Amino acid sequence: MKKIILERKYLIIILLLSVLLYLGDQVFLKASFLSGDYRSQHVPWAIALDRAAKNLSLPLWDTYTHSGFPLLAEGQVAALYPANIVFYLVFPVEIAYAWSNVFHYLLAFLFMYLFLMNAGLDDFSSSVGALFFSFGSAGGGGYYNTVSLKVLCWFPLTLYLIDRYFYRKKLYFLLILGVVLAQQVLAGYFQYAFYSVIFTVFYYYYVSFSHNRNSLIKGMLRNTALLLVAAVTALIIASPQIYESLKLINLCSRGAKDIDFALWGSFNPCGIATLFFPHLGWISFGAVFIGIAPLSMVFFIKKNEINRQLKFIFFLFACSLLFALGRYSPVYKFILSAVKFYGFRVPAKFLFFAGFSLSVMAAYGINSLIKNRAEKSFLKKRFYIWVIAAILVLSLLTVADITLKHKEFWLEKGREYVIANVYGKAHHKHSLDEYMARLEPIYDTLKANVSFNNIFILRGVLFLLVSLVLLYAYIRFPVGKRFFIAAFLLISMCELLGFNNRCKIRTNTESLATFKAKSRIADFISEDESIFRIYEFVGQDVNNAEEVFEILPNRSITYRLYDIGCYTPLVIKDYYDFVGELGSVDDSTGPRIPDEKILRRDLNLLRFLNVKYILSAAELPFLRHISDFGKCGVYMLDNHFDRFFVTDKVVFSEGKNIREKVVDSGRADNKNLCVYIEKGRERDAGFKNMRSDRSEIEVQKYDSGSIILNVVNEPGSALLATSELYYPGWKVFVNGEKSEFLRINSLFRGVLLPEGRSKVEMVYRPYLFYVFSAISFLWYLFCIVFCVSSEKGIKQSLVWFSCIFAACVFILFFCVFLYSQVGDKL
Amino acid sequence: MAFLNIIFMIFILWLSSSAGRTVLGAVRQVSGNRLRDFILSCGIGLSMIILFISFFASAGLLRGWTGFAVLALIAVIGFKNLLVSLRGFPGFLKRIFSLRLDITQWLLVLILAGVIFSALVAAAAPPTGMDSLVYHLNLPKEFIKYHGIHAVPFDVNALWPLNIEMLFLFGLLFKNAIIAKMFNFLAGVLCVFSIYLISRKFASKTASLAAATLFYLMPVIVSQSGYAYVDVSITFFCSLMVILFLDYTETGGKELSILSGLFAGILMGSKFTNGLIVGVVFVAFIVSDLMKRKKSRDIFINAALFFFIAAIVSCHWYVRAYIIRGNPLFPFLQNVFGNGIAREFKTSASNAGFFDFVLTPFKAVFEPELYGGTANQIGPVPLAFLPIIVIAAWRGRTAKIMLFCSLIYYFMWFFVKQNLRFLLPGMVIYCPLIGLSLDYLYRSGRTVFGIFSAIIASVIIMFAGTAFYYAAPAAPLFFGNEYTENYLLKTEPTCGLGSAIEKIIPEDKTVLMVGEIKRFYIDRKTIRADGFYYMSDYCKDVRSKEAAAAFLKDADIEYVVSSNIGIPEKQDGFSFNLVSLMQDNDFLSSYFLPMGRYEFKNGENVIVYNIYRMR
Repeated sequence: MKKIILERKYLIIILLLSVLLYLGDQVFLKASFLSGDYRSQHVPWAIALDRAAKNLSLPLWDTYTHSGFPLLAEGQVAALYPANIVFYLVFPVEIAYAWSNVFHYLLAFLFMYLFLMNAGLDDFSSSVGALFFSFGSAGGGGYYNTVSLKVLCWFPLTLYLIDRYFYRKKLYFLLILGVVLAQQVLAGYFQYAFYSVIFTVFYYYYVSFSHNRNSLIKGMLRNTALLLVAAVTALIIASPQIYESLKLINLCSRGAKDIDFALWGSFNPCGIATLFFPHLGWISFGAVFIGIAPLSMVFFIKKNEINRQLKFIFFLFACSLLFALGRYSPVYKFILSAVKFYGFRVPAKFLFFAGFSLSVMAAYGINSLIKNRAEKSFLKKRFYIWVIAAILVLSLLTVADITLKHKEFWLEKGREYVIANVYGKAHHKHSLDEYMARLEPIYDTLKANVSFNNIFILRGVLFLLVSLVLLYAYIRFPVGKRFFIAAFLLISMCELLGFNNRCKIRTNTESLATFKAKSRIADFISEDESIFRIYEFVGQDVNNAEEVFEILPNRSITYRLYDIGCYTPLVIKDYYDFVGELGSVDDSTGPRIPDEKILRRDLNLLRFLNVKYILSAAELPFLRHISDFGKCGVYMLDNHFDRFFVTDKVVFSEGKNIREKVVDSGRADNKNLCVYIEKGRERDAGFKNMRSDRSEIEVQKYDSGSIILNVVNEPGSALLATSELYYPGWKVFVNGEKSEFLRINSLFRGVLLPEGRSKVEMVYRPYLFYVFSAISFLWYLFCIVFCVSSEKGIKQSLVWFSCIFAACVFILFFCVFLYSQVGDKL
Repeated sequence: MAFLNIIFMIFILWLSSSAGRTVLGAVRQVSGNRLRDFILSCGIGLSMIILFISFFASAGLLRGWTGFAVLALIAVIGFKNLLVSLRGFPGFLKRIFSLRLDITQWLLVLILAGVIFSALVAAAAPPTGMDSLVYHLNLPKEFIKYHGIHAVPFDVNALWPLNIEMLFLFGLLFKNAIIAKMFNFLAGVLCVFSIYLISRKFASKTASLAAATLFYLMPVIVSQSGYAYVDVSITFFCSLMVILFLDYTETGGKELSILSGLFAGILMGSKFTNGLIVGVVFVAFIVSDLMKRKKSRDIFINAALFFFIAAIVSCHWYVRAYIIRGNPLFPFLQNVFGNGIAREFKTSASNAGFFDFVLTPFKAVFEPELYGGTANQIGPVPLAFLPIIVIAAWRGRTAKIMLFCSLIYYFMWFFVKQNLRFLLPGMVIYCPLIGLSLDYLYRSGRTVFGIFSAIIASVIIMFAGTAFYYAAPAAPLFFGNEYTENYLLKTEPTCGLGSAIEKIIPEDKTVLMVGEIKRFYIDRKTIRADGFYYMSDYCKDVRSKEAAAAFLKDADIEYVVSSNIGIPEKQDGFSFNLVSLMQDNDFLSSYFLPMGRYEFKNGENVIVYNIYRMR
């Protein structure tokens, strides 16, 4: 034990220091990533996941947004991701949320360490490499947000497993690789999972190629077949998530975009400056930064030490930068045009891989620097290159500072750029005046950020000089290795601390107390115990809508309020169009902004959607004003429809312009509403004797994915209409007999009921999902048994499996028991 | 008082074990294994009490002297062994004190003793608990009142087999309800020995002790040991049946199948669902003989003997139900016998699918409230051990038979009634295999054994702590620091209601009880509303409030007591069920006079009882 600790002393020291310095607030539950998109997306989803986990179920369906939404299918919820399941089962929601992020940072750190150690680097180099990866711009995967963290923290492990497989030739490494790839898919960020898988596969073939130079084709064929083991494992394990998500993606509005959409968020070439000054990341849509001192290490990689792995890393760095450049990179544009897949936007996301590669290179560099201290000429040569680079950076900075003094020149250039590249182009919604008005502030900010007066520039220059001094001292004077290591570590950690305090993901932290923050508006509305939805009228003049409205989608999940809105990239297209200009439904490309005229026109549509309360910052004289909370007024929409109502007024329609028909329908009460059903259904026997003079609906159960209604209708058959979304996987049983949903108003659920008393049970039961889940679970078990049996024999592996199973059962039972006893107090 | 009850209980156990040993000797089944002989003797002795009491009760001879007569009878039968055991007592003590146990065994014994003591504390308190006061104790009380087993009008439970209730009746004959409920506690303790004994057939001493401890620590056993419920007693008799069956698989012999049949009969005469475990063991008898490649005649003769004895011992309950209602399994199997209650007693699995079947073991552990409530949970041990038991049992023939039997039992349990209490007979076959698996783990390696040991230690500490925690309220009473009346007022509100009702309602009047009203402490002729609702023609004939009032009058029901708890869900299609009527203010004010209203605090709940008299 003592030996192991001594061999890994740098890992232990650096890991502990990193946790305290960079994650201390999260470990001790002071803060977590809670503001911005976290507040309106990830936190509500975490709460939904937590509620489901505590009920030992899955959040398959969410009733609080989107008039019903298949929540599990929105991958970012990551409801099938095992780490999430464990955290949300075991801990209260806020602790699970904060600690799962910490856990994934630790995973990223350890996997990177493992990868570098396996490449033959020493303990210190591997540990600092892991440090740069985890807390540099790559953020251990958290380059973009916490979901990307959960996906990409596994990336170094996939490369490690490939290395191990080709070293030991044991099949179970590929099985584990499959499981890890599945984790990336299950963790929820499909785009990053896709990129990661592509690079992993590339690495696999690259290593395979270098191992089979003698019998290239035979070896490649064999390795392709073996790679299929990993691919099949990944597909089987991730199949329930893939099945549900694909079902949703096929219906969502983001599918058919153009190349402009895909190139939005490209990395500006000027962003290369972020290697030294990461605060300039806002100009370039991202940064590549591991610290200036660590960056200097890249120059110390010795030519004869460039091995197979490092070659791939160079390639990965170049490739990721090239792809991140997006619209500025002809290669990337060509690939996009060739494959014609425009679903993934923000090419700057590739910068994660650049950050990863740079971390690996820095680790190699420091390893080389320490190992080759005796080779003074080599070190001096590399040191001078670094001096030249430093002079170049300082010169460029001076030039930029001087040229930016010519304000009018730059503003004119800006205007030309806006007219040529921004205004009127796809996905640019604002007017020319608006864009022009933004130019001057942009110029001012740019000037302030590039000037030598800027604190971050000064800091960068300081660290540049310090790194030069340290290297010079190390090469020129007999500075001890330990002193150099300590000084280098201190400088690197300080640099990364400065970076972490400023970078996007880290500045989105807030106190964990906000997790349970109450909303006065939500409390007020919740006093009404009937079933209804709300709508937030966010007009153009509303600044900081999140604070004004408090319960914008998806925060309605937090307060258990039903909202017609939703904020997810996977909004269903038909629903997006149905809600239309009313906004509120945001497919992550920005919500549509309605005005009063649109609201007044579309009131009937809101009525049909069971909207009872409208929140607005603007005064709405045509609605009944109920109360004010700060800038937000609460209005009541009279004559709104019930969530479920019985009607015999059915119109069979081609299905075109349904929205307009609903908007135009006048009404006095539920009975006078026509609902539209697709043409051709009129031949159904149930429609022949429709009459509803007296009807009554008792909602016995209204839950996510399960609705039970007791309906009485006399004297004929009738249609039970709902404003609940029609979606594959929903089943209906009338009086215990399986029945069929009708699609009413083109995208909602309706059921034909017989005369008299009926018990209607609607359940979201996607059978194939359950089948895939069962197969996935069994495959997990198979992988465990196979892996252990490969090392220890089948009997022993079964015993181990039993052991793990028993431990899991008991731990789960203990948690459930604890919650049942002291859950409220927690 | 608690001490005297314990002494009296030990006295009864002594007499019954002596009588049982006489019978055991008569069928030449006394072996060298003292523990086995003792357990079987106790079982046979208790069975004799049940049969004697059933006989006296059926003959209408339940008088003040009946209890003493039964005691005298078993004393006479076991007279010789009484003297032998008296002579052997010093030797017994010597053996106890010279027991050589290692540290693990001592720890297990001490924890087990502690938990048994905490269960004793709860058992020595006056009776409480829903089913216990509604019928397990109330029916014996009614039978004593009328000097024999008779038809209790409109009471479904009174038509069920009541063998274990005969033990309670025996206790009540001495005017001591605590003695009655202590039979259940006693059965729990004897179960520990039985499980140990079964486990010892294929496991080491420590592993068997751990298996017995884990079994007793299942929350359902510990919690039920403190109430006058029947499930723990049933489990005990089931374990005896299994011990004899396992002996049969080793040595064969008619005597074993006859004795096993006796316990099977006691089981079948205690609960309908026990037919499942008896059926499983019956099939196991045949399978065991088939595996020994016996002649076809020999195969069936022992199984037939087993079944025949079981049928003889239990048949009187079924005959009685058939005579009264025309359905021996009333209210079930309405489709077969034409008389019963179909809609009320649907099986839990009627809408269950394959996934429910697979997930039920998990849900039963983590969501016990879906399967009969948290007090009836079996805990994580059976599920956690399942994979390792399967691996370990794959080696031995007997273990394999036991594993299959328990899986078949689970299968039948799933389709008959998914209540965790009803799993207990299956647990008797399953839990001893824990011992087997622990030995297997011990041989498999130190790490896995270490992990499992840590799990077992955590489970034991957790459940032992819980057992102490739940026994704590009865501790002041046990140690004489609290009056019985105070204890009852705190824990059982109907005790106070009983004296209130006795003041208001004359002795000869019949009272209709609506909602959750535990009748044991009420000294009046009572009718449960649900039984009345289904077993009279009420639901056929009544379609209006007027008709309801007239119907009640015709049934000679003058008084109604209604409670605000235990209200069952509204039945579809019946607008005039009694429960909804008794909450209808118009109906109450039109046809009833309020006679009194009593409120009791039970924890955070306020229980309200209203007493009405028909106008």
